[in-house]
Amino acid sequence: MNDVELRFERPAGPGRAATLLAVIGALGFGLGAIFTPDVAGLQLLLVGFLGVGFGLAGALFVALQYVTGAGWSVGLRRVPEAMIALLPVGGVMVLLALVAFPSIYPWTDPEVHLHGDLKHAWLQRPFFLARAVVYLLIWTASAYALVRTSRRQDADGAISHTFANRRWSALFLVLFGGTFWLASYDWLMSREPNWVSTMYGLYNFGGLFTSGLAVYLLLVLWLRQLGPFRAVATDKHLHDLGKLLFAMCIFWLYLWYCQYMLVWFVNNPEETVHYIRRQEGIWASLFSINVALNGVIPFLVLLPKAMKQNTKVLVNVCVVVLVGRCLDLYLMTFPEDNRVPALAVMAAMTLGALGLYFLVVCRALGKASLLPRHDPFLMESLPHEHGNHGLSSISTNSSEGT
Amino acid sequence: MNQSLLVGTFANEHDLLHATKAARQRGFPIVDAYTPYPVHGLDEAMGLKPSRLGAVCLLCGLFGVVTAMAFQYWTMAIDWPINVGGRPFNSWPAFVPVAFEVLVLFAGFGVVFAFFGVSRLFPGKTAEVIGPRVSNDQFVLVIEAKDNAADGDSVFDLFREHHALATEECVPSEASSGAAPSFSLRKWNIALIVLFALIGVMNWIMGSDTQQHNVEFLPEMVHAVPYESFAKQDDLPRKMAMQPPPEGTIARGQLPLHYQANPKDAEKAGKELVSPLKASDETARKRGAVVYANYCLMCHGGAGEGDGPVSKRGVPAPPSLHAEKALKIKDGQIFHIITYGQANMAAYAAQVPRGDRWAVILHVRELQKAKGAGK
Repeated sequence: MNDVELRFERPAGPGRAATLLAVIGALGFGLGAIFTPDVAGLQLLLVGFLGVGFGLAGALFVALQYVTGAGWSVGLRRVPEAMIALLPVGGVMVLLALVAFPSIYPWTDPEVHLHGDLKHAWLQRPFFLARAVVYLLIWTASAYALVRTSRRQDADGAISHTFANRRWSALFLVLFGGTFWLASYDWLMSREPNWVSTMYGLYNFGGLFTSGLAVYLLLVLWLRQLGPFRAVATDKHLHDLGKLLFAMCIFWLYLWYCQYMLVWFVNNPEETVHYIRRQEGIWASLFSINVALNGVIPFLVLLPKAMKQNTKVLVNVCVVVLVGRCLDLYLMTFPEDNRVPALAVMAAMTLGALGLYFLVVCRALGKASLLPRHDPFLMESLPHEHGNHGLSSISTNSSEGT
Repeated sequence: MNQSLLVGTFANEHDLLHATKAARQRGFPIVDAYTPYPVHGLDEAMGLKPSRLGAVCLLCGLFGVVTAMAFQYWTMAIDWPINVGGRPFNSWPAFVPVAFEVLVLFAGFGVVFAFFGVSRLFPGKTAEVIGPRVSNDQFVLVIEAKDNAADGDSVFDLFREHHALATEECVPSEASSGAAPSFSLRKWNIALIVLFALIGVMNWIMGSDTQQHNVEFLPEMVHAVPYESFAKQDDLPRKMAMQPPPEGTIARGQLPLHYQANPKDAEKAGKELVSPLKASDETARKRGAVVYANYCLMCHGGAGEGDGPVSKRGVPAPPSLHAEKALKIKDGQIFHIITYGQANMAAYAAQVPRGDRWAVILHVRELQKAKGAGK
């Protein structure tokens, strides 16, 4: 019974489409780097940050499950584990943007005046780059420790791996909590070096986890439709994941509002400039659409229970949330230059990055069995009929599928 | 309704679940199931319709939001508009937190009261429990006896098939009369009513006239021990609590200068007054530069040449601070000039505090030194 193994093989069609997208994205970046290097560099940073966010959300989900001793999600765990593979890929893109396009940040210009000595010391280029490398190394190392230990358990079935991963998870959560807000300050907020919001890191975390959950749900739904997860991901799993997505959308909306209201209430010219810039001209409509995509629409759609179990609705909501995350990142950084952005370059790069990320996640999914088959909590996660465990039904189903 | 009820008692939730499913398959009318804790899937097995409490919750929440927003709009924009930091009277971002809290309050209370209403629960109600152990470790399924399919024997057979611990038949009227009335709850209710009555009586004694003291239960805080600043006080001079300060009182940091605004006293000040600041005082020098930029620069110019921006707009230009006379002048005399003014220059005593005057003199000296070094 314990020899059940679900293997993942990437179907040819989506693989080809993703490769094509990745090539288009690379071309778009190449052309953009020649003709509008500022836009291409900033967009590279954003898509890299998007990928890093997916990877972090995957690691965060896995770590939370280990730390809380949750069993319901163990059967699906290989999906967030595969998302962790996006950490180094997105990280390399972020680093490339930081190193090759210093003009992204106004503070690299010595003429720009920074308020305060600490800010001046903090935003020094060598220190800035060193910090970026340290953040990415910390995240990647601690997240990969989780994946490696989990896969080792597949081989030898020792329960000690579960306890080891609990410790790794606690470590990851602490390291993540201590560094992510700094990274979002460094990479995004310092686009506007004299604007400060202490909510910024938390706000970014809300967007990160919401979009990460959307990717997770999309992958689970895809694997369910494809075959291997048909008997693993039940409607109850979808309901739980849908509830999480719903909760995180509210969380995002809450943080968005907190940041907005604090700035609005204090009415300090140094702070309001950020929002005033985003409420003028073309930005004003994007500003409202952002709130609708990330918060209001998912909240209203996912409110009834039936919607959280409806596959089609879930897919649509996840896509809306992902578009919202891209728009959110765009709105956080782009309005600072009053230039016409090269939309074609940005669209090509975003789609290209998503194609690349799809290929990376598929490769990671193929590296191990889709079920962590020796995890002590696996039985709790699988659908079962009162004591009659469902592994046998899964193995027959998967043999039908292949 | 004297229909008899068929009661099956089970030891665990699996037996109960299977028995419930089987009873529904065979078309037995299920009255209810009693369990010590919520059992997953029991609602499906019993064929219960999805709960409508969610819709009630949503409606109550929406009602709360609309009420709170409307009330705040009415108070802040219509009934009593207050200017808060120059913001518009109808400032919705400030209304949102209150609206959110009222949403939670209304939705929470609404759904609880709706649940009580639907299940006909109220404080002091006699408990209708099929057996005391269903709140501890037993699981009970109740089926209504019918003459056709669901007669006693076939239902009891079904119970036994699913390992029932006990099966019995009972008539509802007997069951409810046999239950012990819950005295303790009634006692609590009486206590609550007495408490509310007491609060009401105390409110009545205290009265609604806020202008005068009625019966005072805790009088310590009502009468202030010190005098009220602006109150009448017959035993004090001028019959007022607040007294003028004694003659000759000087406010802190406001020592008077015994000089007149004329050139003679300016020279006298030059001989008598010495700057309390040292030329090496870095913070004072920086402060002096700031004060100079704010108050002096527009006439005297950035370097003290007397070429400030206003002199180009028709205001008579002051003499240069680098002229022979200005170089020789003493610190104390400059202090006098800043304080009382001289010729076209107005008095700056009101704008520039004393410390700042000495600081700006340091800056002027520095300007003169820089110019001298340049020559």
